[in-house]
Amino acid sequence: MRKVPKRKVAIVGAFTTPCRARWLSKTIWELGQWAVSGALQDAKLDISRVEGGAIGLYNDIFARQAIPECSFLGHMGLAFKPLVRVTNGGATGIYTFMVAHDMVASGRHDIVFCVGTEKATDTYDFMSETQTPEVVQTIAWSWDPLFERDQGATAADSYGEVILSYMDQYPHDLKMPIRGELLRILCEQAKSNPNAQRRDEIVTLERVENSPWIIEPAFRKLETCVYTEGACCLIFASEGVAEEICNDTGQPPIWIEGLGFANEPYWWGIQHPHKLPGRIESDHLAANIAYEMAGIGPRDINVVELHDAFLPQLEITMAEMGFVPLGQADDLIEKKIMAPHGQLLVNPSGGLIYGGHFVGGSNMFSAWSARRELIRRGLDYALIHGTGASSSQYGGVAILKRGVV
Amino acid sequence: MEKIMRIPGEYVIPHEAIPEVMSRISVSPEDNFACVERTEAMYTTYWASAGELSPFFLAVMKQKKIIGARCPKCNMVICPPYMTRCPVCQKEDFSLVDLEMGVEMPQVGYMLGTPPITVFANARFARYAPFGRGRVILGESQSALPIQVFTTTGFLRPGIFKAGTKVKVIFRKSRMGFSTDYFAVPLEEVPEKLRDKKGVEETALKWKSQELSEPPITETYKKQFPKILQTVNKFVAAIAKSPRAQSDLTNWARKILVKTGGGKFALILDKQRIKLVKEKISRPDLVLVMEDPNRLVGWTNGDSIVNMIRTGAAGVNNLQDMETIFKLDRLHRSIRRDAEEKGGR
Repeated sequence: MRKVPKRKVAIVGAFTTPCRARWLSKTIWELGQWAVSGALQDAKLDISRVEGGAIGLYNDIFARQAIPECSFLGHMGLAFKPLVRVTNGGATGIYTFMVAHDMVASGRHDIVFCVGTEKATDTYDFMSETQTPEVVQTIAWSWDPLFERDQGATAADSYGEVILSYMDQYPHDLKMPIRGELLRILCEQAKSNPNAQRRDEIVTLERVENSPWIIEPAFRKLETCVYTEGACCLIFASEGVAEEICNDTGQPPIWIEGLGFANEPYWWGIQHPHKLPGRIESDHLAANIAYEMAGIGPRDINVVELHDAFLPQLEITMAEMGFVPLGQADDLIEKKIMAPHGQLLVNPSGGLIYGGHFVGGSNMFSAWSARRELIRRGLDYALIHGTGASSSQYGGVAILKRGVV
Repeated sequence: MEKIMRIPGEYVIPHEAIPEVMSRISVSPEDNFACVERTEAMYTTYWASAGELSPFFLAVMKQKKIIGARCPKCNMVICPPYMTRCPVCQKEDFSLVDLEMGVEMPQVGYMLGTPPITVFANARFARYAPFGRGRVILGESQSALPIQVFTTTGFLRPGIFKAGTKVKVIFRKSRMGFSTDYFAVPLEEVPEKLRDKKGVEETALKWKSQELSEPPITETYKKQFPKILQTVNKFVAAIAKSPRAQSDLTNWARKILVKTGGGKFALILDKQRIKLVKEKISRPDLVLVMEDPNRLVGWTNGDSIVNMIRTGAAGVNNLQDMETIFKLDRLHRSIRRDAEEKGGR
């Protein structure tokens, strides 16, 4: 049965900070407050009208504080109002999106913030004298401490196993020349995103092929997402209030038409209730729930902003969400589905690989970009996707529709 | 309480990972803002109990057995026994059905999927590298046992383990209750007489280590060598003009002896620079060996030494110092990006 929320909810304001490998001169609180300030400016909104919010903070270790959300409330102008902290692995952003949406859709609030922020590269490994091992180790603390973590499970393994097992089943998909072309497109697209982290890069198939393997043959270094410090704030408003705000700003409301979520179990196996090799079923289920709620299908979507932790996973997720068949994800290029060869815009922000990946807010960053593209290009529908946790267990999808002023 | 087992000199946080109390003033390149940075740590240490899952680890430690659990209602078998109740079946009072614990599993199974291989591990796991970490299905189990995978034949390369590869569980000689007390090797590498035997320890297998042989000098390579040295020299000299490359080498000092089929030389990493030295050096920190010296030209053009080691085209005498190789691999991209920025691409 199609599930419809009590009230419709729209995005009426959005702001994202520039993505940087490190914001030396900004703390996590400043990044969050900067995003809130920008979103209020975008929505021309008096802060006293905001009734609460949800904040995505991926983990306490990066934030250098247990219960880090406690400091944010005041910075966000929400003193004496409710603020919910969400943490759901890599999918923290999309789950925060769900919580903020439901705060309004339930009728409890009219206007709320949906914020995500991240500061990861204060972490530092004093043995290698670099940041990366400590960032990666922090993520690796998410593996099961009894049966897996001591075995050396890494952050990359999380998607590596999923991709390798997909390749076990579909050895002729995910071909390197296709992956190279996808990377070239994403890199090019990042250049038109003023906040993208890797705007100055040039990617060619040759450079991809020379890039070291992180996990062979799952992915190479150039196929992995960056680590980013940054923040994004979206402002959600209920039907009635949203139109009023948008009349002031002159920007159309972006309606949240569909939302879907599903989490796979942690433990892998040969049948349910275990996670199955070769699949990201969470993406499949989440997308189908969101399509059903919105009353549309993948053919109606104009823009996809997808959580591309690793390039081959982008292809698998596109298949799971119904844009291409499983086992034929290379059709994205070979059958000219994806722009510029086809019509479908995929990750015009550059995605997480070239745009940026500040985990707590990456999926908000995707929504910021999708809203920008819907308005700029006068398109109708966008799909936002988030994934995360060990073995890409968590999946979330939101479908956005451009309204009229 | 039994006596405490310990690995002398090994700490849950390696000493060298712990910084002194320090601070510094750094200037943010974006906005020229002076920032104070301090060393900090968030740490918690544990005597962590395996609780209701302890019988699994005790069976490994004391009996060299792998145990699972079975639901008496739906017959689902799980290994490892990561929970004590079936999440699907309920009793008449609606509570979840208790699993029968302690089901002994066979010690030969198959890989659920192709396992990822970690060649370049971080410090906590460097002593195991290269290792694979995958999932094995034992007997009737519907869930897969996470397990490290090793080969007895030397360097672990892709292709040795695939989805469906038959493997045997092998036990460490010293077992302390960790998930590294056991691992898997391809069944075909296990001598036939041991294949059906349970509780086989690592010492019962013959392990071949990676050997670094002296590359044979050939006339062709010898002739090419001076020009190759010039190219490498030019490349390392470019570090002086690249802030990114200098940053890659921060606080890193190594003497690397490079042995090729055209001759030897050394790279001295120090003070954010690399110096090429043709003279013999004493006590190198790392030895890099490759037959074809032209691969070094490839490196100066962006080829990865990591990939060369992985494919056997090059070797190092100490896999636990792969961080140095990572740093060498980063240099080309850093130099290129700084040059592209300077030249407006």
